[in-house]
Amino acid sequence: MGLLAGGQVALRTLNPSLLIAEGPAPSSLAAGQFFINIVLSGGADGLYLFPPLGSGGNLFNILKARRPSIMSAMTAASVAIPGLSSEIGLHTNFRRKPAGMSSSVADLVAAGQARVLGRVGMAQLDGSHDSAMATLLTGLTSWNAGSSGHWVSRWMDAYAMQPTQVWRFGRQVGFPLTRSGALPISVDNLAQYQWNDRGSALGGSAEATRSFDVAKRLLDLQPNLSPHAEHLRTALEETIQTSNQLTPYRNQATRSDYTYLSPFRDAARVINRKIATADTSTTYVQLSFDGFDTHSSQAAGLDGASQMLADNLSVFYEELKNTAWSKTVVVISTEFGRKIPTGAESGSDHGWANNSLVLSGGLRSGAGALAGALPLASDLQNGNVLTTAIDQRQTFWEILEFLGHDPARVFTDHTPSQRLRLFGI
Amino acid sequence: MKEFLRRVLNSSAMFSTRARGNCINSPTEFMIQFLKAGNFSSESLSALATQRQGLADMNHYLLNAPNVFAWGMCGDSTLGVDNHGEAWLQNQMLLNRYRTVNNILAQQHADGFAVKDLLFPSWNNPTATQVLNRFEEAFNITLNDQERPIVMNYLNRADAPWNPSSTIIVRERLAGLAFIFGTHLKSMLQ
Repeated sequence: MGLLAGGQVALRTLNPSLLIAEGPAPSSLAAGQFFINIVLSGGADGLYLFPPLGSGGNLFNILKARRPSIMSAMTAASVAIPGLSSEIGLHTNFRRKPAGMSSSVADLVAAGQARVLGRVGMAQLDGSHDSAMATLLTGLTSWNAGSSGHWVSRWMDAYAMQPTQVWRFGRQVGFPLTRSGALPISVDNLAQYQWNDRGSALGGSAEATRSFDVAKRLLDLQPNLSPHAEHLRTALEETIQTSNQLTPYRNQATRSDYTYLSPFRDAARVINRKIATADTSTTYVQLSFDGFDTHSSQAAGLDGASQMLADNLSVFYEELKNTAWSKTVVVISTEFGRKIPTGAESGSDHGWANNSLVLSGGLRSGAGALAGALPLASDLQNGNVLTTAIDQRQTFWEILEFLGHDPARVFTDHTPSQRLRLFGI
Repeated sequence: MKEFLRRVLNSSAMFSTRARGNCINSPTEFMIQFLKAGNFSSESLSALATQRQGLADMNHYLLNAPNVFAWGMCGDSTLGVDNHGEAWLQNQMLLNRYRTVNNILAQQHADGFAVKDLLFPSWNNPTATQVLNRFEEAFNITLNDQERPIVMNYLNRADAPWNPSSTIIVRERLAGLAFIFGTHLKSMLQ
C-alpha cells in the first residue's frame, strides 16, 4: 500500500464498508483560508442528523427499531440525498432551502460541495462530557490536567496568529482557551459588542475605555502579578484593543435577504471583511451552540437544530459562493455521538463515534457523499454504541493542510494512518 | 504546634490555585459586591431584574450551569488546561460587567433615585476627593499613593473636570468609578 506511479494514491478496502486512501499528504493543498468550526456542545446525535442507510439498510432498520420514539417515522426515501445514490442520508431538514437561496445542504452534498463524515470519534472516549471535551479541546490522545493546552492555542503559537485570525462567536462557556499570548477575539455577537448599549448617556464607549484603562493601569503598578492577575490585566488590555479592532468587522455588510443566527452572520462578516480588504490571513472562526445533550425529547430538539443548521448553512454558502467558498471549509464537531437505544424520555445517552458533516468549495470532486467509514450493524459494540473508525483529529489535520499549515505542529501526538482525502489536489 | 504549622504551611492546599487571592471573582460575586458597596435596596425589583439579566449576559446562570464542568472556574483543570478564570475574562464577559453596572445605575435613575443618593447620605456637592474617599469606604479598598492620582485624574480630568452639579458628569464618573473599584485587584481576586 502506498503511492502508485504518477503520485496516485492507492486504495484498499479496510473493512467491507470502509474504503480509505492511505499515503502521504498531498503537497500542494494550500488553497484554503477560512476554517469555520461549528461546535455543537453536548454530543449531537449524528446518527439522527446523518443516518446511515447502509448495505441493505441494516443499521438504518436497527436504528428505526431501537429508537422508535425518534426515528420510527423516518424512511430511507425521506433521508436519501436527492439525485445521489448513496449509502448515507441526511435529515430531511437538510433539504430546506430558504427563499432566494440556490442550494440546500443536500444539494451541496449532491454537488460534491459537502460530505458526511462517517464513524468519526475521539482518540479516547469514556462517555464523560469532561474527558470528551478535554480530548476535543486539547487534540491530544493523553492530555494532562493543568499542563495540556488547547489545540487552537498551539496553532496560534506555531504560526504567530493574531487575535483577528481566531474568532469565537456564541457563548464560549465550555471552551476555555488559555495561552500566554494574545487570546482570540471572543464575543457573543458583533452587533451587540459595544461598550455601552445606551450610547452617550453615560459617556458611551469613550467613558468605558477610560474606565478599562484606569483599571489596567492600577494592575500595571503591581510589582508581581499572580498568573490570574496578569490574565486579568491582559484581558482588560485586549478588550480595549478589541473594541477598536471590531468596528470595521461589525459594520461589514452581509446578505440582507436573510436573518442569520448571529454566529453565522458574524462569521460571514469576518470573511466578507477580509475579502473586501484583500486580507489573505488564515482565519479560524468557531461558532458555538449549546443544547445538544439530548437525554430527552431528542427528536424535537434535533429537528429544530437541524433546521437552524440547514438554513444558515444554505445562506452561508450563498453568501460566499462567488467570493470565498472555494477557500472556505466548514465542519461540524461535537464531543461524541449517542447510544443506539432511546430511553423513556425519548432521548439517548452518551455514545462514542458519530457521523458529522464537512462543507467546502475545495472538496475533492467525484468523491461521493461519504468520507470516512459507513456505519454498519457490525460496527456496533454490543448493539449499543458505534465504534470509531476515524480519529476526529484527522478531519482537522486535513483542514490545516488545506490551509497550508503543518498539522504536525498542532496535533503533536496524532499520526494520520488513515487519510480522508477531503480536499482536491 | 510547630509540627502542626509546618504541615499546614507545607500542605498542597496552601499552594492551591483555588486559594483565596488567586481567583477571578465570578459575575455573581462581582455584582453582590457592587450592590453592597452601592447600598442598593433589596426592594428595588428593577435593580434585581437588571442584575438577573446582567448575570445571564455574563454567562452566570446560577441554577443552570452550561454543562457538567460548569463555567470553567479558576483553578479548574479538568479540561486539561490551567484555567485562569477565562470564562469570566473573555472580551464579551468583561465588557458585560461594565454594561451591567451601568444599566443598574441607569435603572436606579429611572426609578427616581440616583446612585449618588445611595452612596452619599446627602449630596452636598462633594469634591472629587470626597467622592473618592466615599468609594474607598464603600468598596473597602484603600488606594495607595501610586493608585490614587491615577483614579483622581480619571475622576477630575483636565478636559472635563469633576462637576457635582452636572447630572451627566456625576452619572458617568460614578459609573466609571464603580467599575474601576469593582475591577480592582483587591475586588477581582479573592
